[in-house]
Amino acid sequence: MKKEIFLFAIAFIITFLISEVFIRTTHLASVSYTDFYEDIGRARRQNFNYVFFNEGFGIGEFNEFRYSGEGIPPEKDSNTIRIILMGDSYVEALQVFDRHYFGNIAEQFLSERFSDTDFELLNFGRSGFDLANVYAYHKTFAENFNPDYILYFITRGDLKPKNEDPLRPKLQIQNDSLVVDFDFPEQELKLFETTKFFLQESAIVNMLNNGRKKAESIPVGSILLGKVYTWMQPAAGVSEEMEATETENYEINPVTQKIIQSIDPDRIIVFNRSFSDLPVEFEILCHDNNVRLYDLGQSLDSLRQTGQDPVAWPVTNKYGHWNHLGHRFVGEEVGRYLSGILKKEYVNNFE
Amino acid sequence: MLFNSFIFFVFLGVVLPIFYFLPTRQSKNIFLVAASYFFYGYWDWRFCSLLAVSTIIDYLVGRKMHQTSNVKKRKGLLAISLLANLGILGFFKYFNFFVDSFQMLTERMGLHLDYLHLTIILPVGISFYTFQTLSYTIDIYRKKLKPTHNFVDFALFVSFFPQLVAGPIERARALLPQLSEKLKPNREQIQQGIVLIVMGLFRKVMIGDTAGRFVDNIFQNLELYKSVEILAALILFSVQIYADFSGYSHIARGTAKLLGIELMKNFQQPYLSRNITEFWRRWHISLSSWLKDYLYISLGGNRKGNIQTYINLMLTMLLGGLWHGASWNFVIWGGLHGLYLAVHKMFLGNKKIEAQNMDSVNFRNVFNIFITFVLVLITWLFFRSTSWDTTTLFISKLVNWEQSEHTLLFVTVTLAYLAMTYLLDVLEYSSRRHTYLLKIRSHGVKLGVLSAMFFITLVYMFQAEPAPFIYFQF
Repeated sequence: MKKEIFLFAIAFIITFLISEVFIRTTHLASVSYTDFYEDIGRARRQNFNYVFFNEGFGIGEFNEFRYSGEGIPPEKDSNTIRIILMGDSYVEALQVFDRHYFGNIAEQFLSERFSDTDFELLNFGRSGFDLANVYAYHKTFAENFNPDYILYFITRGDLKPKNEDPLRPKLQIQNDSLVVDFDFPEQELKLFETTKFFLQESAIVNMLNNGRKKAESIPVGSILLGKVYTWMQPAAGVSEEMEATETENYEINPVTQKIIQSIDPDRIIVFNRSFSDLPVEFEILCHDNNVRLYDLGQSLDSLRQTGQDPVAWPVTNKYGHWNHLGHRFVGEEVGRYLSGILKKEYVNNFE
Repeated sequence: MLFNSFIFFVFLGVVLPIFYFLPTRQSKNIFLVAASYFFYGYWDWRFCSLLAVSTIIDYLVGRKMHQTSNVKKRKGLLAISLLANLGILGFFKYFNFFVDSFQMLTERMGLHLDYLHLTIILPVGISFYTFQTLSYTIDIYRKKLKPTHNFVDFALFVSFFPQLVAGPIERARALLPQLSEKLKPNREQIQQGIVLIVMGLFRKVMIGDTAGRFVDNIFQNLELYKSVEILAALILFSVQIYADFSGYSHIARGTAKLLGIELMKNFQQPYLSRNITEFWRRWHISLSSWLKDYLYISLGGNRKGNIQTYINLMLTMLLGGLWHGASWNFVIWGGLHGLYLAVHKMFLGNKKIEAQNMDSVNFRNVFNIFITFVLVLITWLFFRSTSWDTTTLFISKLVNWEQSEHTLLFVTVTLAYLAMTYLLDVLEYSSRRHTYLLKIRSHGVKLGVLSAMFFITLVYMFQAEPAPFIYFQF
């Protein structure tokens, strides 16, 4: 009996290891993409190649300098215009190959129009980032890369700091100034350090962790019982509370207000990357502080009106991030806008 | 209901204990019919009526046909069965295809007419159960089978849930006698059933579905990808379709064994075939043998001279292609296979074709396996392409070769998938059974391997979304 238990354990471990090698080689699941760094908190792993599947499918790398795409060092040539792209998962764009990425399309667009200048558009997008995260990341990290322009891609939802990840630096107002707080909770840090090895070394353990996260975000019953689970649920009514919130007046968050007042309007351009409008109050705030705003939503919506949906992914039957068409469209739109700015033809499509 | 979803295992967890508990043969069969209709209706309950219509018509036709010896009457009854079953299949699957094709033809002739185009949802597995139930009436017509007088048995033969939506397409003479006995799985069947389910699930989920993610994304936007990437996608499709379908068949056979029923093997390591004829004896065996018995032989088989044999092969494979779907791509796929088979037959003459496993591995065998795989791979392009434009774009991209920055990755991924597929196949091939794990003496080792595979597959399934079986659409 003891021998059989021993053989069971050995067989289990060997099968587990062979499967792990198969999973890693075929990229059918990945090890954890994240690591922890004192200066930027939880971030993407340095020198890490990934194959990502979600709505679409992307292949890329997080380079030695800890941002997405081909690694370009912080030092910059004098004949180069460097533009840093910042925002959430739309900017990080794990769903597409680098060659289909809107930043590279914009870079190509600009290079064709300004033949005597080199352009470098760097992808500093990070999934889950809101405006406060973007600003903190810009000030503490992206600024080291000597950018000429920094583009913030945001949505209405990004205007309220969410502070969802305890291992990300927090942006706070102290003595009427914005301060990036690097004080991470000890317990979270310890948990991360303890589990890091297994999550970074085993795709199967990382799959387990993804399963845990999924179980936290949606009811386990719906995963296990499928349609039967929905049959068992009472029909949901429209929440009156939700409707009431929609009609309330919009109040700008103090951190957001301070960010807009603090940023350099000559170098930073804010883009609305979503179909939904930014609040009028936010537009006024930008206008009052000479911050340039560009609404991609209008253009994306006009594209959608023609029957070409920039966020539809037919393979997975999902709606989400920009698809290949969306990236091409946004890349050209951003390229055109930047081209206007570089030619000193200031364009603002907000009314 | 998908085999690769948790709800299927919940369903099985409810069905099996009740089934084992039921005391009589009839009560077990009635319960299985109800469970099968629930299984089918879980997708769309409205199409249960189609299943019921097919069942009633063929049950009555079978009985009437047996009662009369009048050839005219028997032919008439067979025609009723064929018309009803193929009529339903034709309407749901081929109506728009033929209307569109006819429209294209008339437009080429300069006639611009308004045609009716209907939005039709294809009932899952309609081609499978239609062929299964047709075999029953045809066999009775050919006097190879006596009809059953038990309606419940017949209803279960048509709707038996493990093989209802994607086969294996069982013959009445193999399945009905089993259903007329009291179903009680023995210990060996239960062991084999569990092994087949775990191995099938691993093949389907971990190999088929995951390879399919590369394939589907690349074929959706072929114009965006480089030559090596699209070639990798095609090779991965050959892995995907095999893992997907053979995985499904394994689970179907395994589930049936848990209920005490033996279903036929649908796949026998087809990518280890040394020629195209052998491939068709190892690939989708239940369909190829159906086509041989009910179409190729009906056309005259090889009894009417060489030329007619080649024509019969071609016709059989063309219709086999059309069986897969209402698209010219499937017809070309079938036509290519027909051409391969005819050419192979021409070279062979009267020589018998080996279908047994090879005794030794030598260069000639490996070379033949490689050539056969390449020939089959070419046909998969037509099978996977959704349109003629996709096919031509694929070919032009291969001709005008473009380098990719991800060549190494695509080559590695493709080789890894091929290696795993061939590893599992070689194990089956050398042990001559799908349940080769049971050959291991130590229970600890057997359980260790199985539980690790099952655990990893479940973990993947939990955090991913289930992908439907490719053959469901047929």
